[in-house]
Amino acid sequence: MQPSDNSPGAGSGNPSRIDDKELLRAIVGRKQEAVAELYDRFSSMLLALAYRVLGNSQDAEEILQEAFLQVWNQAARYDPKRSSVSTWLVLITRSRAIDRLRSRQVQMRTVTAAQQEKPASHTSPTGVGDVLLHERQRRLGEEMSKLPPEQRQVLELAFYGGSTQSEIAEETGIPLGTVKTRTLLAMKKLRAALQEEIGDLL
Amino acid sequence: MSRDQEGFVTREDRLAGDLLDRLNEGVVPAPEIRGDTGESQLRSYLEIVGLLPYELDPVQPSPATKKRLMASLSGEGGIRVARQEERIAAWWPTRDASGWRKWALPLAAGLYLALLGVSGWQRVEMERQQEEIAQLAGHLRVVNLQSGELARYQQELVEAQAKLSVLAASGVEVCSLYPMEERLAEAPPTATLFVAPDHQHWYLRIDGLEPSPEDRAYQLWFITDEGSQVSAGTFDPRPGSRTELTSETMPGGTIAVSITVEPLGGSPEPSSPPLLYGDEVMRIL
Repeated sequence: MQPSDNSPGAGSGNPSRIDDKELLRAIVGRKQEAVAELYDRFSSMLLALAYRVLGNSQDAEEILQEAFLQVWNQAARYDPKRSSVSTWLVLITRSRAIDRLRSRQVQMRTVTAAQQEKPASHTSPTGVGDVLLHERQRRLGEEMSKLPPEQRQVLELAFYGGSTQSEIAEETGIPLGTVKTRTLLAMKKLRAALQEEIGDLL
Repeated sequence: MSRDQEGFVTREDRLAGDLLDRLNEGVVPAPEIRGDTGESQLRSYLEIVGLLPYELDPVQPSPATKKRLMASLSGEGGIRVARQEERIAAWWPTRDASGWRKWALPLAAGLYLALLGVSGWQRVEMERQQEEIAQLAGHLRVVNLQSGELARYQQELVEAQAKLSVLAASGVEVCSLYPMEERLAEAPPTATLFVAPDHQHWYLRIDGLEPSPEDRAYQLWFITDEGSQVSAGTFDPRPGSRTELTSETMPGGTIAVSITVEPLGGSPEPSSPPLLYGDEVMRIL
């Protein structure tokens, strides 16, 4: 069965829009307008991710640009059996952001400074993709808020901070086994709760 | 049911528990079990990871970011590798190549008018910037521009305009930075910070600062009235040239500014005495 990628970007419920995977195929064919379309669908979510990791608007926008350049250069490597286009883009952006974070031998900004800066968000027209994006945001927010704080903490440190479970144990003073258990429980709860969203992506 | 050495009960537990670790190690895991079960489990958990950032409030990127991306796809310069000083600069929006001719003359006129209201030494600085703009405009008139040249001149004009927007503002504040070490007395570097009335946009000009030692970088700090020292980034001067930094943000309550020498990549807080320091502010009306 051919997977159907009903990510917010793909415009679920709006069959006239081009599927995300179609866009990637067009990018392999060096169609620049396909990059522009993919960018319009996912850039606000990916920029939020990069900003969450880096805490700096300028760095985050650089990462966003680099990620889409990587998509342009490596679209042929995308394997629809491994992940949805949305997840592939998240993994690329997150990986680049974490690399940038680690390349700062020390963090350039103090926590205070990072908290002072708010990401500069520019306005854009609201469309079908935005509605679906907001619905997915609502669902994720809902399920994440149901996680016990200690499970959410380890998930965030691992996902946004790029810390391994051993590093989390060291940083927080929580025994490694407890960190592993909390991570596992959080992932399994999310998998159970987000069946519908996962199904849309498969 | 027995647990393995790391406490996981099933392969799925191991997959779910270790997935983020594997990704953080730069590995996209392969399923331990070939076939529907292993592959579908891996796929499910990967999609969970891919869904996580959807909880965040979306952030619309600057239109300039998309423009630069599309230009890089067209081979019109690619992703710009910013000089280190540009990394904390580059706040001025880019402009269309075709549009700059329209504002070159108004800009020059604006500069002339702005000159009437500033102090003498600031005027000298502005005149220098004005000459720079006039030279660049001259280049554009006489040169049969290739796209690369146009982009370079355009970038230089944008930078000049960014500096001038601070210098020409009414009510700009000026703070001189002085060397703090006696050994620098023979050829001391000097620096002047210009802060726009919004106390956010600033422009720092540094003269006579040698390139940083190997494995070290200069780091700029804003010191607030609460005593915290907030990094504004690192930079490395080019030999024999003036260093110019500019940005659109400055911490609230900034009362002083300093430059230190730090390990490459910068420090979370100053680890050496200030090389240059300034806390006396003069307002130019």
